[in-house]
Amino acid sequence: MSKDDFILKAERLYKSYRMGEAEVSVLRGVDLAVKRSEFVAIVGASGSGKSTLLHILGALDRPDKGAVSFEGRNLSRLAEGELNKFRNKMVGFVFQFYHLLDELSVLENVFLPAMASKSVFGWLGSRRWARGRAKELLGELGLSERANHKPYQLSGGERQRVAIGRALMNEPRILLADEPTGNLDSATGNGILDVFERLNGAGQTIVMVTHDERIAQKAGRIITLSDGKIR
Amino acid sequence: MYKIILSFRYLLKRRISYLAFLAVALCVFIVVVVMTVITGLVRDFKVNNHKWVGDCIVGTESLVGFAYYEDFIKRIEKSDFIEGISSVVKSYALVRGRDSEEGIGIEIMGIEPVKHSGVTGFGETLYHRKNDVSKAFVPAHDPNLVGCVVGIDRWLVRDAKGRYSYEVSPVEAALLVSCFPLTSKGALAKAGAGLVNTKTFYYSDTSHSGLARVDSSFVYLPLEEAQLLCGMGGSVKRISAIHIKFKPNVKLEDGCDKVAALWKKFIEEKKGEKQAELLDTVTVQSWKEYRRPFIAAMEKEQTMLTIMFALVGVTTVFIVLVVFYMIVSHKSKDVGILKSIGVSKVNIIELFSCFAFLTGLLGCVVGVFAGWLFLLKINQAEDFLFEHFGFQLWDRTMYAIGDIPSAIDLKVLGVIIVSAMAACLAGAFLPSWQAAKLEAVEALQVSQL
Amino acid sequence: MFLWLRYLHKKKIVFLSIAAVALSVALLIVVASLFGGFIDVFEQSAVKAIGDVVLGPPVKFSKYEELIERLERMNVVEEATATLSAQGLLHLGKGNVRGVEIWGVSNLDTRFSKPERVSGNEYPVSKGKHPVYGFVGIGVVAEPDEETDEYDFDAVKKLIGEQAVLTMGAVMKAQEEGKAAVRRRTVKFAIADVVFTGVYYLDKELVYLPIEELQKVLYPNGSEGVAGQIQIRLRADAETDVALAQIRGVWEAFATEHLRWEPYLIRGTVIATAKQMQSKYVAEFRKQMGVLLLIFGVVSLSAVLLIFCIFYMIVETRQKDIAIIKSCGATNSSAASIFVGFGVCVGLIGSGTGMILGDIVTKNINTIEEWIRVIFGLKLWKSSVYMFSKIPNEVDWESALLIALSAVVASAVGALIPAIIAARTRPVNILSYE
Repeated sequence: MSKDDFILKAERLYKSYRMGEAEVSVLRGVDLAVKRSEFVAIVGASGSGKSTLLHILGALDRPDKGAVSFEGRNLSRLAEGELNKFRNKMVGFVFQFYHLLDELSVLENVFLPAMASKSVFGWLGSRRWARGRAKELLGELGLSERANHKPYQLSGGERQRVAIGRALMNEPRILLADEPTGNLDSATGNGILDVFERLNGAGQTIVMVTHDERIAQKAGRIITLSDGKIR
Repeated sequence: MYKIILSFRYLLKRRISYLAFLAVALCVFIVVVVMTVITGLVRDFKVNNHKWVGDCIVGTESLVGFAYYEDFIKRIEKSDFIEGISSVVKSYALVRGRDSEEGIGIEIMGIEPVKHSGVTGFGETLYHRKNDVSKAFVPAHDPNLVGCVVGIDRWLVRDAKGRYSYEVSPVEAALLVSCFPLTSKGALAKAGAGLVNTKTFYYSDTSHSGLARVDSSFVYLPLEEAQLLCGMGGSVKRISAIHIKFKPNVKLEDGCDKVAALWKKFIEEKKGEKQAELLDTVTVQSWKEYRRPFIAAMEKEQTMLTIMFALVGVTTVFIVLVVFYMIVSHKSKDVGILKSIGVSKVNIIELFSCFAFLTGLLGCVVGVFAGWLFLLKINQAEDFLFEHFGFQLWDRTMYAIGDIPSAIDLKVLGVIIVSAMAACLAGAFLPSWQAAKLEAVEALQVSQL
Repeated sequence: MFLWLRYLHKKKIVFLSIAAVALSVALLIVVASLFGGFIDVFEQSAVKAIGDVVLGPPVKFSKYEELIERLERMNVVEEATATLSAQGLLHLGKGNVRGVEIWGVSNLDTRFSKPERVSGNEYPVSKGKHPVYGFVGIGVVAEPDEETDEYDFDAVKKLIGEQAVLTMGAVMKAQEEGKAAVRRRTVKFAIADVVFTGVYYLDKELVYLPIEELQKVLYPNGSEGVAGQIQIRLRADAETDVALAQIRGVWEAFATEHLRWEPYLIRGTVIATAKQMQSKYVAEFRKQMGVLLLIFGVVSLSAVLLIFCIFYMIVETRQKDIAIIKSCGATNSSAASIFVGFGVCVGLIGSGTGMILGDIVTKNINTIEEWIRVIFGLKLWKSSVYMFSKIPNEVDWESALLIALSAVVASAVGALIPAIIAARTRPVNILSYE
């Protein structure tokens, strides 16, 4: 496939939620295509449906109507097990509130995706590689000395970098980031954005959701989502 | 692997998990202790019953008895599956001391002590004549007299600790045993001038079988004397039962079946002979069937207690359910994260099941260890409580119990552990299932924090 | 308060804690009631068998009619009966011989109520050449069904009117000095009725004859009637201790004047209530009950744990809400009192439900036992093991209230720590984002 190929395509996506008696339409026919190695920012106000769109792109949620295809494969045709595999191998998620496991150390949080895809015996065979890869990622993210710390011992920015490391562990084809700097001060947030720029520069495809236009400027392409539609 | 790591971390880091495993440990401890004691009591009771009657009993409930027993014994004593045979007479009698006017109703058992000890544990129950059973009916003070062996609770009193104060040597005491002889038709035999068959026996030993009913109501006499007393002597002698012991490698049911077949053949051959109709009242039973009314009562107690303590298991399920519900609710964020990196629903259930398994395992280990330690010291603890506070779990002057049984039965232990683990897994299932069903997006919403 | 109640009543898990409290309370009430009921029935059965008070001298005595007359003149005594007992063999037919205890009683015609008698017929009077009539315990002549533990009353009724022979050993003083012999004495009697008291020992072992007939058999050379014991029924309003003292006074006077007994024999006479005579056994049963209640009580502590866990969880997950509401002016004590109060509510509702459940189970325990027998083939309660034919089924309300109160207190205690945590929550710590 060439660089101009689309890695991710969304066609006519509809999604609504039931809030008590009322039905709220969040996405009303969204079309989106992301090229390989692109850095796309999806911008929208609070409640515009951008997080919902991101979750659907990453197969964390299913659309009511429409289809998402990844490298030409329709995600809605994949069975449960294949979707799990997709999320483990193809996608890396970075969340606004980091979502690290409190019981695991920094290093363990990073190599968790590698552990999740292996049986006990499989893990025993590959843990050396996984630990090495995790340490390498932590080194690149400037967290080598924090490998044995627990998440609650880290600052917000450090935690977000651990989350990025975890997202990159299995060399995903695409990185999906939901308001990655939403919980950080501007200096720390800029540091995170620098990481994203660096990763994108090395060829990582990134789709980032943000409500902040200034942060969106760091991306290569900005898509605006408003009232459930791309503007 | 992450399931094992996370399970251990949840168990050790979340203080609320301690509640679950402590609850499991407490329930396992209680059940181990209670079941060990009850199982031990039932086991000891069964063992004592078995020892008292041997393996197989060919006998009749009728006090008339049956004849031709010697012929049958000759038939079977050479069998390759039989180790020992003993003839027994059982009846009711009145006994009184020589100078006493009061008669006490007892049961008499006429036996040949050496043969009987070869079939049952009679020899081990004696005190003075334990090492020489042939002298069981020989009074120490005068070997020419006819002795009798008295059930220990008829002769001695237990102290508060359940001990008997044995005499150094048997006292000289005469007992008048009066029996009412029956004819082979079951009628009262005319024994002339209205006299009962009464004979004086001299105390020679006590018998401690460990069975309360037996030890308080039986007097053992020489077989021939008992036959005469009951009117079972004469030209065609009668007895009440033949007790049989099988060789060690013979299965109980197989041995009894063989004896039953032989007996059936025997009564066919005896048809038409004098008093042959008495053979129809005879049954062939294993010791379990013979003592069933007594054993069943004890087993019933055991069943009742097992049922009651099964409720304890239900309580464990409850506690584990609630604690896991709480832990899993707290861990909904973790579930969301794991799902976001590709962990399946089944894996989520496995994760929490692994956690439940570890909780159960730790609880069982602690509970069993505590139970074992408690049982190790239970008799000492009771002695201490008795000496300082006058408290005994069972009043030994009322209950025929020695030491409280404290040997853990591995089979029972296995059942308890498996049940505890199953209870934990059952308690954790619903919360695990709910967690697995949780959609990642729901779990990761800001409001969930 | 409104908001808290909204949170708490929506939590399904709170209902689980109420259920746990209810089950624990019900279990303890059932155990306490059954055991307590068993002890009461045990004591009552003794009273039924031997009267309220037993006067038992160390040796048998004559002129008992005079003593009875004196006793019945006392205003604390309703009725006094002489009894004489012996051991013997009952011969019911071909080879059917049983060892029995024979009680000669002076009130055979009124001793048993109609429901206790299988036929319920009027007691026939023995006159002259007419046979002697006696009563026989149902367990003497029949065995209960192995599965149902019930007697076949139709088969038993067929025995009424049948002849039976009792054989006893009567001690005859022989001609030579000091030599006593036991003679066989037999008495033929007709079975007037079969008695089913529901007390296993009485039904299994006893044959009842008129005391005069038994005296004739045991003391054929005696001119005066002999009794072994006097069984006394007190008036309903009699004070036991006062009655015992008065009875002892009457006895001492009688034994001194009429029997001319030595003081040691008079002092050695047991005059005690039936309950006092059973007190050793009763104490043992109460101890067993205590041990069982202790074990179940410990297990029931899990209900307290549950409440603790649930409220702890609620407080933890609602920390932000607690902080918000406190920032609006709610006090620490109001936050704590809501949880303690709710714990008390859980305890009250749980205890109340438990008491109702315990009452239903206890009152219907015999039916439940029958269902278990029918469905599982398991006969849990056998009269030969537990002494009585029916499981006592009255609720011990004193114990029940104590258990319920303990449950309420325990529930409040379970909610206490979470309540303290809620009270100590500082809004500023919770409401600032990480």
